[in-house]
Amino acid sequence: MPSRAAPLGACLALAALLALAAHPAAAHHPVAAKFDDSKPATLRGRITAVDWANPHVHVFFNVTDTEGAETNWAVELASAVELEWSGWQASSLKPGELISVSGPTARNGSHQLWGTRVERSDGSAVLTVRDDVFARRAAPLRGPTPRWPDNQPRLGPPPGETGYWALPERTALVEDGVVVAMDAHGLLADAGDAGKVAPLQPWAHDLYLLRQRNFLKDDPLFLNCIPPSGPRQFQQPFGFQFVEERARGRIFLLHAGGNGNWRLLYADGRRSVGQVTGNDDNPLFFGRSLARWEGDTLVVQVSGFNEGFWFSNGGLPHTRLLTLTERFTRSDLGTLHYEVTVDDPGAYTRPWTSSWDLHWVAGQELPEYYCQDNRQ
Amino acid sequence: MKALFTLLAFAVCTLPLQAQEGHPLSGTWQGEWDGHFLTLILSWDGKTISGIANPGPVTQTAVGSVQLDSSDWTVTVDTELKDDNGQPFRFRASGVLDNIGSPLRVLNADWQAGGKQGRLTLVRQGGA
Repeated sequence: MPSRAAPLGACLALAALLALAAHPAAAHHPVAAKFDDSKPATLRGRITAVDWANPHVHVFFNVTDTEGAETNWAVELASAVELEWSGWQASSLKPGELISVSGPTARNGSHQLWGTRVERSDGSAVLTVRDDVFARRAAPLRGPTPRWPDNQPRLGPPPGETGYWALPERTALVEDGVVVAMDAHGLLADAGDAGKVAPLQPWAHDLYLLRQRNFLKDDPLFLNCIPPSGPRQFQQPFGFQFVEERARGRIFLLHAGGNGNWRLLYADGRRSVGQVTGNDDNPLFFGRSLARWEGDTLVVQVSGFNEGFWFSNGGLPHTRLLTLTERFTRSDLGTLHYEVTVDDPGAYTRPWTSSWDLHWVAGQELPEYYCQDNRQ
Repeated sequence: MKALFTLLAFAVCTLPLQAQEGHPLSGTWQGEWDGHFLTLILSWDGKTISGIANPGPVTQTAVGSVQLDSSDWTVTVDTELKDDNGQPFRFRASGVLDNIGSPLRVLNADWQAGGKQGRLTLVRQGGA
C-alpha cells in the first residue's frame, strides 16, 4: 500500500499546485467592466506621474499625436499589493521615462487604458503581475488539523504561528454540480448560461443577465467599496482570518479585501434577537451569525441581511429574505472546506448549495489592501 | 400644502432605509403627476409586490396591483390613491424601468387618473 499511496499523494499535491497556480490575479474591478477588449491601443509617451496605491496603481503619461498635440493618458494596473508581490515597487518607473503601453481602452472614451503590457524604451516589460502571484505565497501544506486542548479544530493559526486563509478554488457562486464557464469575476463566457448557475426566479434571472451583459459595471463593491458580504467574502483574493475568542464564545472573521471589514460569529448559544424593535429595522451587510460545532464542522446560520450589496462575484441577486447556512471544515492543516446553502425565497425557487476549498497562507499576516471610494 | 409637503417629506425621511440591490421595485419611489406629489413604498415578498402610497394621515392607501415584466422591465401600477381631502380615486401608470443598475433607478411611465393622462417619472430613493 505505501507504494501506491505515495503516487496518490504526489498526484494530490500536483493537483493542488495546479489549482493554486491557476488562480487568476485579482483586479479591483473586472477589467471588462471599464475597458473594452475590442478597442485595444498601443501608445508611447513620457511619464508625468506614478500613483502607487490600492486598489489600482496608475501611471500617467503624455502622448503626442501626429499634429504635435499632447494628451495626458492614465494607465490602470493591478493593485500595489499584487505588483509588490511580483517584485515591483513605486520607484520601478519614474516621471520623465519613455514608455510604451498596450491594452484595451476605456469604454467611456476617456483617456485611460488597462496596462496589459508596459514597456520601457529598451523593450523590457515592467509592472507585470506574476501569473503565480497568489499561488507562490501558499505552498500546499500537509499535516493534521491543528486543534485546541479539547480537540476542537482550530480555524486560525497553530499556537505561536501566523497565517490566514485565501486562494479560493471557486470565485463565484455556482450551484454544486453545475458546470459553466466564467472568469474569476464571475463573468460568464456565455450569457446564455445564466439560467444554469442557480435556480433563479424570473426577475432575478433577468437582473443577473442584465448585470452580466453590462460586464458587471454596476457592482457596488467596486463602485462604492461596499463590503464583500455573504459567500462573496470567501471569494476574495486577499483572504481572511479567524480569531477564535473561545472564552467569550465568539469568533471574529477579519477580511483583507474591501475596507478591512470584519464579522462576528456568536458561538455562545444565543438566539438571534437583533434589535429591540426587531431585526427588520436594522438589516446588516454581514447579517447576524449564530455558530455551533457539529463534530469538526463549524455550522453558521446567518440572517438579517440588507440588500445593499452583491453577495457573489458575478452579480447573482438576493433579497432581505436571504438566509445562509455556512459550514466550515478544516480538513487538514492547509485546507478549509466552505459550503454554503442559500435560502432566499425572494430571488430563488428553492434552496441551493455551493462549496469550495480555500488554502492556508502560512507564516504571513493578512495583506494590507483597502478599497477606496472611486465614485466620480 | 407646504406643511403637508413638509410632513410627507419628514415621514419618508424617517422611514427605514430601503434596499438598493434586491428586487428592482423594492424601495421608496417618488415623482410628480399633474402637480401632485406621489410616493410609493414598495416591497417584494417573493411572490407579490405590495406597499403603501402617499404615507400620511389623510392620503395614505395600500398599493393595489404592481406588476413587473422583467423580460423588458415594463411596470404597471393600478391602485387607488386619495386626494388631499381623503377622497379616493383610481390611478394607473405604465412604463419602463431605466438605469436598473443604479439604486437611483427611474420609472418613466404614462399615467391615467380622473379622465386625464400624462407622463410621470418616478425616481427610486437611495439607501442600503
